[in-house]
Amino acid sequence: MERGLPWIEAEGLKPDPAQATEVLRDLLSDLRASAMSNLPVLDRVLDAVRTEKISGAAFLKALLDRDGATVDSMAERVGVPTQILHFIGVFFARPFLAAAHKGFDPSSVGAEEAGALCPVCGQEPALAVLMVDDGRRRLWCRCCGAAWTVRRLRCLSCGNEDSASLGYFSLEGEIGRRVDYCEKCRRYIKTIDLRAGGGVQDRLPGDMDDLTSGDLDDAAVREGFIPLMGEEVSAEWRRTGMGSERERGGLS
Amino acid sequence: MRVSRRAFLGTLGAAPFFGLVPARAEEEKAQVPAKIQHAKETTTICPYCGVGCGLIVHARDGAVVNIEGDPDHPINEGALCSKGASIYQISNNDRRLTKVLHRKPGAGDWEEIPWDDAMKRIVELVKKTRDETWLGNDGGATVNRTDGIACLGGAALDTEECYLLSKAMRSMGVAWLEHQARI
Repeated sequence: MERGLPWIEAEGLKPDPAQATEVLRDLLSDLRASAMSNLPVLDRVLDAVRTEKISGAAFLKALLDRDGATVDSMAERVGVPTQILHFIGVFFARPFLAAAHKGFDPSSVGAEEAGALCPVCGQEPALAVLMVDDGRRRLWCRCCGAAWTVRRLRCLSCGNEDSASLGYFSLEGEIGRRVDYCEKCRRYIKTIDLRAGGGVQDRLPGDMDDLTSGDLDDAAVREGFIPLMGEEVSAEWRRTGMGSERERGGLS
Repeated sequence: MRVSRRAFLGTLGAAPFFGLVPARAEEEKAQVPAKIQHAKETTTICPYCGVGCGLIVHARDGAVVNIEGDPDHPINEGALCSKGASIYQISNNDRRLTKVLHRKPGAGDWEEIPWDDAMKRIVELVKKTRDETWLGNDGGATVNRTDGIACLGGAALDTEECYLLSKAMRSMGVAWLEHQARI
């Protein structure tokens, strides 16, 4: 963290190939069992894993290496849409990443020091929550499940702290869910306010919050905003919160 | 692992496919986009006591819709006292005075008067009081002060306002000059 690098680097992870395949099989079997209807595409992926057309170890390595092209080629080989494998990949890689950061506590990083990227695995946050206790903003990483605290009024993409160009919107008639955005760089992040409706219990967001808030993503895109995640968004400050845009001379 | 933007969008797109989100509900949402309400958050300082707690003010269409403690402010770290927690009512209150009211001597009712008239009357009274209580010399020493006027600054005043107030009062010879933050 001192040099602004995440705790986990993919090169340092050496998952057991047999275990990787077993986890992938279990995941796919559970997905199929819990699906509301028959899913031929899911069956095709499961068959590909069973017949070793897809190697669990190779799939995991591609995910940990952030090698999207390999995942795409795997999807093509199996004959399924590439987003299916990416979707599965998020849940497949998470236990391996989570095991690797077991014992680290990202919440020990102060809001001033923390950057916008996950201090554990370096991924952009998927969601933010405003905590009941003190209204602090905590970010949640979809990939490794880590959560960390950051400043409320700062863009997670460009570091903008000018409140005149920061804002949020919510859907009419709704409380507790909103989209925080920056008018300078047009990036956004979904936020769940746990205090809404008299909430008294703090919790971290999870997959269901993420998956059931697609309407917020739709609305944000309609308003011309861009998801925070993206290879094209990269700035050194995002790794460490130290040095706001103002301090770096970005604002006059 | 790093999910590319394309993959991220695909991830969400795949959710209804797996039955994790009811596809029909998603479709209905897509057909009738919900109206959205924009708002702004701005930081400020609580105007009540001298502690100076940080606040976040939520405003929509220029009107205050919520005020909360600023969790990133080093003094209060998101917490507020009971007065601070109800500060939203300063802005949204049907009993808030937005115009100058004047009750004439002997009158029972208040009437609205223009700001210019109010300022003119205040100036007249300050001048009259100052002239009547002016002390140029006290025990052989030149003092040039008035003991008939006192000024107490409130916690809502910022540093610059306090500076101006101090200069204005001392230029008029006011010696009884105090600020709430020192109490």
